[in-house]
Amino acid sequence: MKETKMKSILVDDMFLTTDMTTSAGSKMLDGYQSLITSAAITRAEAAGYTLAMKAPVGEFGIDLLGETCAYDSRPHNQTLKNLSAQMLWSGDVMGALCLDVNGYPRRVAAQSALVCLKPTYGAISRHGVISVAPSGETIDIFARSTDDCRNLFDAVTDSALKDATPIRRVALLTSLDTDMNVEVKRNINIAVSNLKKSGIFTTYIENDIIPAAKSAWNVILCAELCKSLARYDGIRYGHRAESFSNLDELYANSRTEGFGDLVKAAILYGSDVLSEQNYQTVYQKALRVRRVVAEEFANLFDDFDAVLLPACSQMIYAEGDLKQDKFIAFEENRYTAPATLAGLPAVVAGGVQLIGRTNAEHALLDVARILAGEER
Amino acid sequence: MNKVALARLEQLNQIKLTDEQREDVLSFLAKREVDVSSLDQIDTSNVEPMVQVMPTVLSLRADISEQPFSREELLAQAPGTYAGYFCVPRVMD
Repeated sequence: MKETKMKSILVDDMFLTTDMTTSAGSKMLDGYQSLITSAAITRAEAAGYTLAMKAPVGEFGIDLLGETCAYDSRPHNQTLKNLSAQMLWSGDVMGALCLDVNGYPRRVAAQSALVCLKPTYGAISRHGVISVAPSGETIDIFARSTDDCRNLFDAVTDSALKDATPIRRVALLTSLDTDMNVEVKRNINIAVSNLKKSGIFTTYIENDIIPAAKSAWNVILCAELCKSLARYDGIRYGHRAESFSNLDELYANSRTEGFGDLVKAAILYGSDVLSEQNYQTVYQKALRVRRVVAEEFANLFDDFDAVLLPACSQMIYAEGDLKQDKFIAFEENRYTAPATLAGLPAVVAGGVQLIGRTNAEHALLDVARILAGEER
Repeated sequence: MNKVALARLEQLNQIKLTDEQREDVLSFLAKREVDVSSLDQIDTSNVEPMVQVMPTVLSLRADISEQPFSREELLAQAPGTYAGYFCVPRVMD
């Protein structure tokens, strides 16, 4: 990798900027020019970083790796690739800020041998990002090394709270040890071996609660997305249909033309779970499961300092995977949903993910050095 | 979930699906129903819903009237404007 001379960063297209348009990867926001700049960018620039560019993002950040972006016309050549990761590897930027709604930055980092820090919910201000699922989304830090990640996190975080408890005991969940391919399993085994060599105790435990995070997050994500995207109607900004005969058709045609298939499906599901017949049995149930999962993590952290798990089920996604199931992102998030649902920090390094206690970002990055092979 | 219920959701959310998209979405919704049924395995009796994962403090700004953006700036993005207003099709005859 070539050395970058400046502290240049990129952001994905979920961050509002006054000098570049923001589209959230969607035709619905085609050409939108914001009047404000995201707080995270402002803080990064105040700390001496330079915003070099914006990278395309999957439509409203809910897909696998960015493949549903309405503006990314690069041929995928059978495997899916993320532009932010490519820019980091090329050395054109040293760090990236990405909005983690459904886990895409962590999956990208795992598959691209990068480091990704998902901070504690609320640690970095989301003022000036295009919000999709406000109760769980976070601004993730992407970088080539743990030091770059740490420095960029310190520059943009609002939180002075830090849990500096060193990570000495790591749990792996047997229930999340299935459905991954051989390469991911190998990465987990390598991570366990490296942690043990560094004197960190690792063990498998049974836990059937935490895997429920995926189902609960899918409900909450879609419900919040449905509400967040209701504002996009082509009246005040964004895409407006050219053909309509009345106001209702203007709304319907604009939204139909503006949104892609994955987002449409998520909006309709979100609307369904918020309907009168499903609100208590589905949406409120998901919120209750959220509390049970959060408390389960809290209990687990009495005996352990972190949980090790994959970030994705395979190290490469092929276009064929999407042809088989265009909604695969709602299955693949089983590894990223637990941290998102409970608002906990997580780090991805060496192709695996480590979830820690609230505000334990620095402790996680210390262990990430071992996972990324930086301590040799 | 069936086509009639889905059509109602489409109308409520001002989205029109093609027949092919409708089949895909019905398949997607069926998988979500299976997903949700697994939540019933978790005992949530006497558990309060958790909307916010972290304790939040509502911070209020000073009650001072501000005009951060001009009318022109706010209208600049609109696909259609007229005499300083957002322009929409006629809604009443």
